[in-house]
Amino acid sequence: MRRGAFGRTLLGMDADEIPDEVLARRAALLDRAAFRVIVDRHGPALYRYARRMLDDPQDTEDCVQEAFAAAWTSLPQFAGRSSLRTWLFAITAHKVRSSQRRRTRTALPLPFVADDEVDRHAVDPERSAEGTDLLEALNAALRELPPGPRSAWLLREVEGLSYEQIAEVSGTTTSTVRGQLHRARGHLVQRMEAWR
Amino acid sequence: MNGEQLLTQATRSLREHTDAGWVALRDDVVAAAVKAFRPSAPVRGRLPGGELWVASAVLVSRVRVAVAGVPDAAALRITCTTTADDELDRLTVELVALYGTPLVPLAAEVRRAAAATVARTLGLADPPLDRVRVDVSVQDVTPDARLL
Repeated sequence: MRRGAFGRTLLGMDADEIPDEVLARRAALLDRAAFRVIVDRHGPALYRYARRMLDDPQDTEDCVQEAFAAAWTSLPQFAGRSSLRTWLFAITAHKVRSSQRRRTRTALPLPFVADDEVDRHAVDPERSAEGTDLLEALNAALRELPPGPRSAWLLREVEGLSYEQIAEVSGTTTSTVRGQLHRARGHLVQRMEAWR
Repeated sequence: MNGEQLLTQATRSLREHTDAGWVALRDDVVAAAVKAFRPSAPVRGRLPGGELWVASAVLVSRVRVAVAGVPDAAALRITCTTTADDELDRLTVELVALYGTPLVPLAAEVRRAAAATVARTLGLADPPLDRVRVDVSVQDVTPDARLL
């Protein structure tokens, strides 16, 4: 054994190898180094999710900052009933919804165009080819989805959460999640087809 | 490629994508989060010329570091119980131990390390360490050293 930045690390064990449950337990006991590993491990995904849900860099920063601060203070109460990753997504999704509510109170919402009303030529292929790539086309298509289907699709297809985990994160049921995913996929396929 | 194939490819790109905004934010996130206040009860300590108060979260953090120095065990939870006068009544260290480790000597070592840390932190080194009540509870054993 050797002592390291984490109070205890195993000889030859990289921080990446330490399981989430161990990191959560150590961070709950005020181990800042363990918390730093949690942030490095899950931060990119939480930011990626929040960025596409909020579509504003400043709101995303605030949301992710607040989510991790909430996680730090709440870790002593984290009982491990769900995985650390799901728990962190639940906190972040809650912050996202709060941010969206604040935005709704202070600004006019962007209109959502339902699937059957989508102008298939609104995403100009030439313009996309010039200034953006496939990823940008996907981001643009995601922006057209309402928050529920957008969140469900991101959590399932990009972050790999199960239907049950998504329902837990979103505070809804698996059948609602299934419906949201169906709607999101249909819309996104249609938009990518138009982009082509 | 049709729309479905394009979506599959774009999804794969997004899955592997790290936003530049995250890279810029990462250090700030850690610094700001660990400054967030964790409410915890005060514990009364002793100073030669006055009173000393230590947040129980600070005491727990120091005991965690001390327990981390004991091989083949790790703290699962550390809890402080205080009297109505905020004196430390009891400190409980719940452990996970490596499978096969003799538990009695292990618990004794954890107790010694925790008690010494409590005494140092609260200024109790004189009077004797016996005044610090430390309970050790082995809650789990694991054959996997990564889980310590």
